Amino acid sequence: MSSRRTFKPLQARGRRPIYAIVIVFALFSALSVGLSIRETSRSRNQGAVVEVAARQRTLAERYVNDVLLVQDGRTADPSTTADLLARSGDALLNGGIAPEVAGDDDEIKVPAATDAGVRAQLEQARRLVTDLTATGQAMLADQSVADVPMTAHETIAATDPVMRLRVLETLVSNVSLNSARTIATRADDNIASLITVQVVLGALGFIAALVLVGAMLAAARRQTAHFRSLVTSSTDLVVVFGSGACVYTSESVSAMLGRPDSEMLGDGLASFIHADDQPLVRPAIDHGEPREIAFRMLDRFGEERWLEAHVTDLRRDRQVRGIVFNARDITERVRLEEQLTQQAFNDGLTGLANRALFRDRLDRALARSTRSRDVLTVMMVDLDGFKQVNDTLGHDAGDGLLRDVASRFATVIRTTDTLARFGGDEFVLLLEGSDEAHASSLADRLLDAISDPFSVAGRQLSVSASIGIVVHQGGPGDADELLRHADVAMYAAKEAGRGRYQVFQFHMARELGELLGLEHELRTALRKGELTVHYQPEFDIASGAVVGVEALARWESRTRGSVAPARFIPVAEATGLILPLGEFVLREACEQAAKWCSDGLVSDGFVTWVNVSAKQLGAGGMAELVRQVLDRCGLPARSLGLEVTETAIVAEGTAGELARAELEDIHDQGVHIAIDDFGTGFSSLAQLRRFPVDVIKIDGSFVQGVEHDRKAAAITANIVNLAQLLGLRTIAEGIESQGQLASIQQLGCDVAQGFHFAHPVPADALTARLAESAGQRGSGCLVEDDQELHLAVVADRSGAA
Amino acid sequence: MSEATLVTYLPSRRRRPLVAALIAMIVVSGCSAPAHESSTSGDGLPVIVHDFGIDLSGHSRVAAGDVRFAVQNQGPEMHELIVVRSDTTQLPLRSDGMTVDEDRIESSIAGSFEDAQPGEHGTLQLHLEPGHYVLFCNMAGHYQAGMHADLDVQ
Repeated sequence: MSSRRTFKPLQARGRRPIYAIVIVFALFSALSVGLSIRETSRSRNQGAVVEVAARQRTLAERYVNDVLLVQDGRTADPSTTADLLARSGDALLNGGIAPEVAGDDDEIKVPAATDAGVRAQLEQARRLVTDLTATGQAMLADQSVADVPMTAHETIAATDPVMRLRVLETLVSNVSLNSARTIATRADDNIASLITVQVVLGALGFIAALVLVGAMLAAARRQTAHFRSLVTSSTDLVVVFGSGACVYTSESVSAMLGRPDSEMLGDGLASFIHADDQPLVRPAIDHGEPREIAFRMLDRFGEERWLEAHVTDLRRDRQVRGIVFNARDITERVRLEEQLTQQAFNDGLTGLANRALFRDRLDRALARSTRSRDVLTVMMVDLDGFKQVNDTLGHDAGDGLLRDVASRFATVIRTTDTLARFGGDEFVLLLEGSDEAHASSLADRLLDAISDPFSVAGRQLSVSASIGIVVHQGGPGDADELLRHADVAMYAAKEAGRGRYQVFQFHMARELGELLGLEHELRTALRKGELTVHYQPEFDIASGAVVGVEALARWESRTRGSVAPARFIPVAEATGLILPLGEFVLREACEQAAKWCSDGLVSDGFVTWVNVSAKQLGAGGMAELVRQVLDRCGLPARSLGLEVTETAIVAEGTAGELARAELEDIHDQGVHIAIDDFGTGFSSLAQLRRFPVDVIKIDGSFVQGVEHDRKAAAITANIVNLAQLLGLRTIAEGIESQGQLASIQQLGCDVAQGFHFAHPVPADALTARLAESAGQRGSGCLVEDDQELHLAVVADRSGAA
Repeated sequence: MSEATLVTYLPSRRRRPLVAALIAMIVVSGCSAPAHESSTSGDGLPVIVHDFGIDLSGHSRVAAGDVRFAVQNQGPEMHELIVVRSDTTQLPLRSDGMTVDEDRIESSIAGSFEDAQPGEHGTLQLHLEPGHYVLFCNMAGHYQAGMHADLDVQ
């Protein structure tokens, strides 16, 4: 049963009946031809036999005539005739050469008689010939013919010798003719038999062929039914077009489109092809090209179904005469792909384009710009202070804010612009055909769009953004570079005070490149210990004593050599490296200060100043760090001072509050607090009053102008007066000359610092000077004879220079 | 043969191939045909014809009325059997002297069994009035060679 279920295609099985038919016909034909040949040969032989048998009659008559002639005294040769009769009779019976009959017949070769009836007749004829010739010989010998024995059972009543001779001649003739007739009849019978056999063979062959043809047709029908069921039950769609019109559709087509065959045959099916896909499908219907196509069809409900079709041109195939579409319904796959594409190219949070899609659009836009030389603009938008929103209100609130911002941005841009979110609070805009003026105008509108407070987690939040703009002037461009430049410009906007936009300038790129390189090296330097702390002494102007040092980070790079703090400190600030760097300086300075104290090299009022950045304060944990370091070093809190910039303490919002809280804590521990670079920021008197500040360090730019610049001198004087009114001490930074020293001394500054006195030096160098000074002083930490050190430091400076 | 009824012939050898072919045809074609009726010599007066004589097996007398001859050709030659009422055995010959002149005895011929093939059986049924009859074969020379017999019908 299993073999019957196994389907075998026509090529494998369908030819067997054909072969069988051919073989049957060949066999029957061969048999027929063979029989015909045999029978024809036999008929020819039998013809010779008949001829010889018939000749016996003639010979018998001749023999009687010969005998009668001889009796009549005339010349004849009855014995020869008798011999001919006998030999011919033998030849007829046993086969051989029937002898020539002179003047009548030639020699004839005859086969032996095989038929029993014929043989009996021929034997009888031979006996009669014997009797005939015996009677003839008796007559010629004048003997009594009645005494001649008859061997053929004849009983001849006639006594007349001639009559007896004639009776025997008649019997010989009669028997010979009868035997000839019998032979002929046998031949007829054989021919009839042959015809019959041929008819039977033909009939059998015909019947066998019918059976085989029937079997073949049945097999073909089974196969056709099998293929039909395969086609009709298959989910694949089969459509045949002939001369541009649909001539066949499988059931699955009807099922998919929900339309009956009658609607699809002819031009119906083509009319259901989506209009946009007609130009693709029509050539395939008409010419069989292209061979692989994907197109849409509209079902009964007007919904699009995606089909992927393999097109085969079978117009020359007599069985088909058309172009065949073998199609699959790929609608679900296409929809899934679209969904995946949506997920792959869109930001899940805001629904905006994501980085991949933006990048694709930008690449395409640049390709167009290469051809058209149209200008395009990329904008990088970063929300200011978004991290604090996440930190204080949670990520859900942050996400909500991002969605709201995205919505407001979307109302400002054109439909042709691409707005994307790259992650975090970073939005990017692609504006095709937009020049700098338009981009700037749009940037203003974007900033304006978010100027109204956002309602997030029950709070009203004011948000600003920094926007970097880069304009591509048309022609070839690099997407990565454009994005990088937009980022640089955005960073520049942040640096410039946030809540604004900056158009990219090339010097920004150079700076950025430098910063990026430095960041990597600085990170490595911190790990490898390339950073050290140098100390710059501060002198009490009144007494000239060293009353403190400012700890300053120094970087001796193995590749760059000495890197100025002005180079790497901003990098550390921008990258967050300021935190480990600041901690490093704090620990180093405190340890060194503790050592100087324990060694008795400095007095009790000696203060080691360490710079603290706004980021360090804003990061939190600074007060705790200071407490730990002091504890570990055993350094009294009063021997440590922290210098903070104005911007660190006047910052609005959470960061400013956190910084102020940290400072309060640190100050409460007994640590001195100084406002660094005073005068360059935006500190107000009221703010100074709110902070735990002990010292104001007047920026070097004022100090250096105090000697010749009346405005600088006035500002410096006011600062000093202000400090004195608030009960704060003042330190003048950056004193480079005796004249400057004299001027600030006149203005009433308390402490001076600068190259005029000493450059920042390594701890060991300063320790030596302090030890020397202490030795001259005798004991204690107070520097009573500062002039020596002063001179020594100046000398060191000269040497260093 | 005016009063004779040719009852039946057994199938002769010459017909066997044809018969066999017909049977094959019938078997193959699935058709049917009436079987060839055959008969045996059965009862009746046995008459054996042969080269060259007619043997009545000693039955030289029969009762008048319907006489059934069971004819069998045992000779190698074809023969015939003609029954003629004749007072004498000697029948008139044609001018060639080799055959009986049937025209002259036509009115006396009771019936005949013709063309008995070698080995053939057959019956010849005649209504014979009392009298003397001669049974003979009138193939050329056969009568002269001794193929005749006397039969008395009483």
